Amino acid sequence: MNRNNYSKILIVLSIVFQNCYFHVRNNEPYQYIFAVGFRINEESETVLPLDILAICLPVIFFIFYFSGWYTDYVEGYGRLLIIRNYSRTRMILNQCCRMAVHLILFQLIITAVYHWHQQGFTPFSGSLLQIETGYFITIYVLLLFQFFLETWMPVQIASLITNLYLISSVILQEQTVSGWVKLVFIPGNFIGTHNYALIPAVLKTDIENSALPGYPALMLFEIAVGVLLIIFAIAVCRKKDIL
Amino acid sequence: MIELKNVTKVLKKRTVLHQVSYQFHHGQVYGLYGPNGSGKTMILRAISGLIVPTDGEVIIDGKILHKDISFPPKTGLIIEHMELLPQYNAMKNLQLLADINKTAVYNDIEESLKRVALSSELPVKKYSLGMKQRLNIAQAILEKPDLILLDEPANALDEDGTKMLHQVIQEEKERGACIIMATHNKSDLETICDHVLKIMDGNLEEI
Repeated sequence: MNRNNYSKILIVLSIVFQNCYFHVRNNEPYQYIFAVGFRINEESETVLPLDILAICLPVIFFIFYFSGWYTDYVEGYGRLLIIRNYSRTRMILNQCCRMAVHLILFQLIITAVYHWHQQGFTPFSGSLLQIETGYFITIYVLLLFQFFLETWMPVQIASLITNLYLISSVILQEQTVSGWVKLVFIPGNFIGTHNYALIPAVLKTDIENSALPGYPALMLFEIAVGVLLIIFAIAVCRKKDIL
Repeated sequence: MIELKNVTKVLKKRTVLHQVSYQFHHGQVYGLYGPNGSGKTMILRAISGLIVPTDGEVIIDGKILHKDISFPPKTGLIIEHMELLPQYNAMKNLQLLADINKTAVYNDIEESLKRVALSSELPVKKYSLGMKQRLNIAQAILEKPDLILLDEPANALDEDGTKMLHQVIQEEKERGACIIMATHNKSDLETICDHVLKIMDGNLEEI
């Protein structure tokens, strides 16, 4: 069984574990908590460090699954593939498209798991499409970040930096609602209550009166960042030796 | 025609290729000869598009590498540390490669395996070094390439394997391919090469 098959099994296990964890941990959590985030009650329910790890868990395994998607093409067997592709640009774009397709499939699995196991969960009033789109775009940009890092550093370091970026972003966005944090620490925006696909009632007035970027502006910004990462990856790849 | 025009490559402050200029023509076999570290592999990598010259140009049939094209089209390549998928057998490995550009069909795969006298159903991870090298040769000639770049192709081959290699090179030459082979095996140079190029400290000259 090769590495990718092990990774797929780990992703499914992490999704199931996350689902079970939040089922046990929270009273009346949000439905689809993996993308929506923690419920903020007026009694200011505490977010434990373990909650942060649990909500990041499938994403950490996504990062593991997608690690090496650049490096595999420029080392060993990959060189036989890249010279047959005739174009470094086409290779990069193919890989980015494949990453998107695989991520969509994983997202469908995780949504299905949460849709099936929703008894006792409190339904939310937000739009599922908005929340899922915010989740996909943010995670995809994070994976493009890892992909870009691999063009100029070892795959293990790229993976480590990406994981640190993810965890620090989620922690920071739980601590503060500052606008610049959302623009710099992008991975934290995969959570619906951070990217404002779902605005908790207790924060609604504060957010509406602030200069924070709304959901559409944030998503457009992330898409622009994603496009830039692809362009930078192509630019680095075209100049780099494949030894 | 493949043309190297003042190709220079500097790697970690060391000049590995120094203003190399030469023209390679289709239907000819070129042997690159030189000591270890002289730049033989670097020339093959420069022509295959795997490395970007620091200066100069590599021109493949009128198109400049890294400007007009990233890699020369229809190229067969054997270089070091190039391993096929260990969990699959020879046929499956070649099928996966043939599926990329769909320029080779099942019969072509069978033919290339027959030419290198490889018929094992075992997965590649159970192959000897010689069998792996035969499979490497098969993947290099599979899609009837116009340009074949071979880095020490006789490595790990026994006497029969070396004869097979020479026969394959001769057949590809007659088909019209341009074959550039890096080797430090003098018998290869004397037996099959039309042109012998000596490379020393990144400088190339025909002998």
